Amino acid sequence: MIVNNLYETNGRVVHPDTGGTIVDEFTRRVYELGQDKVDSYYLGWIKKDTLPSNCLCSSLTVDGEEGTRTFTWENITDDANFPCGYISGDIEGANQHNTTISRRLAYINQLYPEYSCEMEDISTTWNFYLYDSTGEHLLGIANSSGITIPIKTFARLCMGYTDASFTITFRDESSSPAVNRHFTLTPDNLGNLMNDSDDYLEWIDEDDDQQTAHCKLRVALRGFYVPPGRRYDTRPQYEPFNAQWFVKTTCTLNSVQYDHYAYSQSPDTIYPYTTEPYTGGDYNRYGRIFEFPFQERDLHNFADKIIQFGIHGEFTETQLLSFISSQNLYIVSNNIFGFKDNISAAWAAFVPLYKFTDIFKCLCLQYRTDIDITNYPGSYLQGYILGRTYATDVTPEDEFLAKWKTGDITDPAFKKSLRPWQYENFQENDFTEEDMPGPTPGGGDPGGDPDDDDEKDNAPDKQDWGDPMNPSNGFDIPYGFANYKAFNNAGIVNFAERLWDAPDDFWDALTITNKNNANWLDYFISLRAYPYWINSTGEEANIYVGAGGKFYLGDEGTNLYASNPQHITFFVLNFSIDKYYNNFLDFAPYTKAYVYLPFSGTWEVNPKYLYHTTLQILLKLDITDGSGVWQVIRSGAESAGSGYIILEKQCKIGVEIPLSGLNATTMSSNIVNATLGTYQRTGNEMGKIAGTITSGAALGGPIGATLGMAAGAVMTGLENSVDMANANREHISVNGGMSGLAAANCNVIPSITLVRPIAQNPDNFPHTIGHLVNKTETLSSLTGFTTCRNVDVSNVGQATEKEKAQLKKILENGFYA
Amino acid sequence: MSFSATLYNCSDDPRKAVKSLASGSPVASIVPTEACDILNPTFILNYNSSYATCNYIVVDAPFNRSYFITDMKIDIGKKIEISCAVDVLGTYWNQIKGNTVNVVRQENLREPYLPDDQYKIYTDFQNKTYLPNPTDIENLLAEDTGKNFIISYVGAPRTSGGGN
Repeated sequence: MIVNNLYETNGRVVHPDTGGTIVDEFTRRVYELGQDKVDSYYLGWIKKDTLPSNCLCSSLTVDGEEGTRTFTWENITDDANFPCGYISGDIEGANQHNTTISRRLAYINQLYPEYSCEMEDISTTWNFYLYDSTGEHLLGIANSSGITIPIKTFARLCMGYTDASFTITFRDESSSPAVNRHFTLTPDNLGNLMNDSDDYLEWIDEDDDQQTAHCKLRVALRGFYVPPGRRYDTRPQYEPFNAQWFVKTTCTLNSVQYDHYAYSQSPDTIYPYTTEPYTGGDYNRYGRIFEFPFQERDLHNFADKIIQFGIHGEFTETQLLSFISSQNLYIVSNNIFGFKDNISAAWAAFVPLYKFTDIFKCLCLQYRTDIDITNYPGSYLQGYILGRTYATDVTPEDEFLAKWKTGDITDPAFKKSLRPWQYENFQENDFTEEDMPGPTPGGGDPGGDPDDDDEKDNAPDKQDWGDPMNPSNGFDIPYGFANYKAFNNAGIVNFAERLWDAPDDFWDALTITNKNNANWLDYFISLRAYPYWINSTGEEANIYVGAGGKFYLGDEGTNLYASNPQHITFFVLNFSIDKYYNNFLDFAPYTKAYVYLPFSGTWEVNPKYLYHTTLQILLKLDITDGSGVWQVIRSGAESAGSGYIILEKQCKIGVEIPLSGLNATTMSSNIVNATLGTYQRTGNEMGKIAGTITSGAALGGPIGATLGMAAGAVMTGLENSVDMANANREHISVNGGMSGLAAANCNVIPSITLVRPIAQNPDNFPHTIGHLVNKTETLSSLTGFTTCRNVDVSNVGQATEKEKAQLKKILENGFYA
Repeated sequence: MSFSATLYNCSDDPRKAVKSLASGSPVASIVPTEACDILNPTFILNYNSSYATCNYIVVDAPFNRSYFITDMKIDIGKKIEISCAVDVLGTYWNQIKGNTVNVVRQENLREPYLPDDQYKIYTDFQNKTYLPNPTDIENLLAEDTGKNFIISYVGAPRTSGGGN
């Protein structure tokens, strides 16, 4: 039964359902709206009279000239009284209200038989956000081009709440030729595949005004690769394989099939589902498709979450359409890594920006988030909307990344907020050379105070270094001979391009007429890539090379900017580690602790240093030679010896990119190759980290090598006493090191791993066995089970010797005080 | 020779120092058997149906002890013969409860960081990896405008304006 009520904007029913008159009443009010007699109304369909709070409703506003009015149905989910979906679309023609409304109801009827509306042909453009009979679950977004099934629906499918089915297809690129491997998920076989799917699938809607904008999904699929020919319910135990996968989801609804795709950016490890017990520590990576409707404000809301953006690439329309639809953005790749109670997820989304002839310029948005799931047993993904409706006539001024930005250019904060292309626009117009930010290129400001904040000197201000380890105890390296500039990815590309585009006189001057007659390559000492964000000082500025700073790699419009990096850059990583058992098992030799330091290795430390403190891992990075020093510092105040270094290791972080060569081609090629490598690293950094962590390659290897030792030590320790623990307490061993490019491909995030024993004691352990105490107490102060040692009962004068012996035996063997 | 005593039903663990004794059944006169062992005596008393549920007896002077009833026989002539075993803990608790003792194990006290050989652990293990605080990772990894490359080059202070 449909209950159609007409609501005012405050949710008050202004026209209750009287049996089919609602459309007429709505039409009348629309007419009044067009006549400026009323401001706005909402139209609501109460789906069931038993669920009065769940309804589909919409607002109605009027726009346009008389006779060609366009009525827009808007989302009113902001209204707490209407936690429901909405219908958006255009109603063309002032005299077509009734028909259009019927059409929309008809489409709802197509999906939901409980709506008894006549089906009519629909030719207009519209979107329906359709909810199930509970009103809580979004089932799909329907429009004239088909129906898009959001991941929530997929989750509901997985939980067997719908009768729809999905076909998921992997493209196995490891096979030659590549083959598609697929299987169909239905509520019947899904349970076999998922195994306790309710444990892994649960949608959590955040209380937000954009219900579709915030979604969390627990681990949806673990290793959902099923080789062809296998029954889904046999849970085949196959080895993982590497493949550059793509996921095709096919939704079959009302005998209509809809396909969607997701791709991995690089070869990824696909894990099979196994019957082996899950031991924790490595959630298998998986690929999923996420697509959401997009609102412009979403980008602004989550701008601080976007860690990288830029014109990522150019795609043909065919390529692009394999990534995105005409209506919604598909996040075409994702990498996830993490551990059981902390998940870091990264997303890369391609948003079309401009279209030049047949080429689309795409904006690549990478979103990374770290999720503490302590309160959520099991991991989940967190996705945010980063999409937008695609349009070929995008005007840059309307974009989030606007070409222009207004503001006071003399304001340093505003100047710093400008994007490169926005900065360029300032240059092209009212910018003078005096306004050029940053230090004087080449040698810095001789008169500048290295400790001041005017950012006109090249030397970093000491107070900018932070004070975790009092870096002012070091010394400054003066500029003048060699200079250092820090580039981001785009900058290094521009740098390479600039070398190629430099006019001939530039090269002539460098190679022939400069006063030292040196090969121009001699001006460049080194180029290193770092996995970390390089702290830099000063504003961005052009690079000047050669004697007298005569030649500089850029002029107005070349967009070649770089910042002065600090000679020594500090990174401080804070850890909070609590005891697990809160007893002796948290310490050596029962528990072992390993600190993984990227580019250095995995090192064992005594776990006693880690607890109840703000543990800091500090990296001192020397950009002059690419070396670094890791320090693990206990800074807590609980112990008397707080604030000391418990581990210090040197490392080589900067990856050398060769600059030597005979001509400019070699150098440019190196730089370009490095840039490409960085792009790949950037895109897959999370994935590589994920692989490292989840597979345990970096952590698990050395840990695994010592697991036997750990287990043995634990068991041995149980057979011995405190002496055993003391004997092992000061033990710190070296497990190995690593450096260079290979290390850069490993996990670049330090971590601390504790290997603990698993204790199993009965619940009544205190009552039947008692905790170890070893204290002197008065018997009358005790309650509960007690055992004593060498009890003196000589004061019981009346008792016989037999009784005293019996009493002593009872007190020593155990009694209940 | 007869003594007075009180019979009880006691449901406490025999190792409990202070027994929870419900209302007892006083006996005016109990007679020990001949050659009575004070630690494991046997008494004869007149039959009472309520005695059948008793398992604990407190015998007044000169015994001044509490006993567990270990056996009970109904004899001819409406007599009951009960065999007892002394409850030294219950008898002498008030005298020793002020004693200080070296407590080895206790139900409600705990020194958790003493290695306890009574703990049982699996031969398996569990590992947990801690990552830095998320904000620290964000600071560590490159942001959108982050710098990942450093070039070192030779260039003296600029003495003139730009130009190639």
